[in-house]
Amino acid sequence: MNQLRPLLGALAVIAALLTAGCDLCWPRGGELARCLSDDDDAADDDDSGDDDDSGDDDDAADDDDATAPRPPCEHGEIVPGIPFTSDIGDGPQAETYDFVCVHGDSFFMGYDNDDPAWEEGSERHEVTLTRVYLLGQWEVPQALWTEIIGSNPSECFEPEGCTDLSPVNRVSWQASRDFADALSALEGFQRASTDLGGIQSQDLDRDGYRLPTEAEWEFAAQAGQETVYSGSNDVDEVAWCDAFTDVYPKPVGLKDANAWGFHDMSGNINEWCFDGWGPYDLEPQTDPIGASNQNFRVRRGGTFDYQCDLTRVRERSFDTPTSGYNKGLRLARTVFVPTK
Amino acid sequence: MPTSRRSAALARALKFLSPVDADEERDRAWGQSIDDLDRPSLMRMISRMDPLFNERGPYPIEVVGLDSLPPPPTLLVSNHSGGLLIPDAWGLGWAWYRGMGLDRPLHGMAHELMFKVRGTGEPMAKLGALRAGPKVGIEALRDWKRDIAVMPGGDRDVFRPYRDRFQVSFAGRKGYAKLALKAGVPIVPVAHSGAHATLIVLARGARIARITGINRAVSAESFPISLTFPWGLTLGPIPNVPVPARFRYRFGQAVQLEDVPIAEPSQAQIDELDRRVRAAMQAQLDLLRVETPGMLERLRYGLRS
Repeated sequence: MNQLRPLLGALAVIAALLTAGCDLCWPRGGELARCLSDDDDAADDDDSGDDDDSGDDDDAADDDDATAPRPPCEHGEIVPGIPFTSDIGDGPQAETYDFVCVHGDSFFMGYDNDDPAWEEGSERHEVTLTRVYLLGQWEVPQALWTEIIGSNPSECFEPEGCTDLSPVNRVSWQASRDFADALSALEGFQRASTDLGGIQSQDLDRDGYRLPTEAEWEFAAQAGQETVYSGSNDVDEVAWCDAFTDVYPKPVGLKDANAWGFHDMSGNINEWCFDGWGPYDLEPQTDPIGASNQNFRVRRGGTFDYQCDLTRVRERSFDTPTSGYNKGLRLARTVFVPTK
Repeated sequence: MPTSRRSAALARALKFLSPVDADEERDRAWGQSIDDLDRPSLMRMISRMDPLFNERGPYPIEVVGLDSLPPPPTLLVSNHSGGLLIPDAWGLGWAWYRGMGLDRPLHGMAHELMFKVRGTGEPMAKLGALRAGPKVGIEALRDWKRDIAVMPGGDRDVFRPYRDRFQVSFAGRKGYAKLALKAGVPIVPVAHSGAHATLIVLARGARIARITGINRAVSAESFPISLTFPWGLTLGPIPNVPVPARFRYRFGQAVQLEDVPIAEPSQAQIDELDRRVRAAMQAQLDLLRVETPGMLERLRYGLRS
């Protein structure tokens, strides 16, 4: 064993150097890289404005802070998003699909054991999200989908309350991914979807548009509160639900937002999440992406035409990834990955 | 197999096939409410059927027209083929849930007999099957706005001779039209081809059923003579291993009479709706006749072509 010590010591030094190297090359690519270069520019500006280049310790520390990659947006900040045109009867209007910046943190996901809604598979457990991500303020409206894809899968009749700004409906999990990929390509972001040997996954470290993970969705829907529905305990304030006689979901953003600015996370239309369906893993999780179940995918939020109970913020369900009935989506995008 | 294990297996089989007694039926009558549908059971069934019906499976499924289905509730009316194992009904369910998802459940109306047998009643009800009958049907359609599937031809259709495989054969049954009129819902004709090739029915055997009294004993009008795998020439409704074949489903445009619902539809209204549905379904079957390869082509290009 004594003979191996020098070798182990050398390996430890090499490992430390490699780890430092990882710090230097992270984050990478696309918007995440731009994020870093912005910081570099800022650091350069700081340097150029500093007449004293002798470099004492405090300056060195400041420089370190300045060059360390920082999230490009503050938590809760509304980030202007994707421009599109809608027409709800009074001519074309310029709109944007805006995002809310969310800084990941630790939170509890799922139902408490003493909650009447508790059921096996959706038990309370601790989750930590490490990334900073953008999540759409609204469900993707039909006008945006039509502009990107060229056709609208939703049935929509204006006299029955459906407009260009109603959420896109009848989209499968697969079609939702394709939509996000098409948007990423259009805006020059990295493609977040991956397909390895028939296993459909997504790379959360890439900067392209994608479906939120279930944990990202619930973190945003809870918005740091302990409400039954997303943003309120009064379902009427925040959710379209229980309208058995309605045929179509309502236009996005008509109900109150939750504390972080998200609308319609309870009710209106079910929203696809990335995760494969399976019971929660009750150990503390970091950036979970669900079970490796390709047959069923998680969808969250509940719908306008079904019981309000199913729009509770912790309520989870699933469906076949090829099905689209009463399902839409909300776009997500990673904008910052902390140094590993 | 040791004797004790063999007798245990036999006991299980007998229990599976044993009839539900009156007390049990009173306590828990399966198939009378949409609430019997159990999502985990449905999920398991869809997963199990996936290897059978996906593109690499022995019965790959093609679907046309599901995208243009009207909002619920609708009454799906389909032809029926494939013998005792009803592979077309399983395929329809799989195709529905792949296309519509669990958010839009489909309830099949099944023969009362199925709910009288211990081994089939509960599992089928958990998959959404309802007892065929106007009361349950109207409740599900009108009050719960659920989609329902019926195969009016029943056993007469499912043992339709191979030569009639592209013919609508409802055996004069029109209860489905009355149900749609009373509930005020549109009928979607669903035409199917493929399951007829999983066994070859040579004759329906209605006369044998009559002579032997089978029709009265089990409310069935058929005693088919068929070529099945692995039995060969088969007399009667014997379970078989379905030969691989491609299953095709065409969902036609919805058919509905004006001014529905009608509390007590007249026979003329029922006949008119039935005529229109059968015509719409025949049009879809004629398209399938063109799309579906014949026996020789299947032997040449593969059974699943």
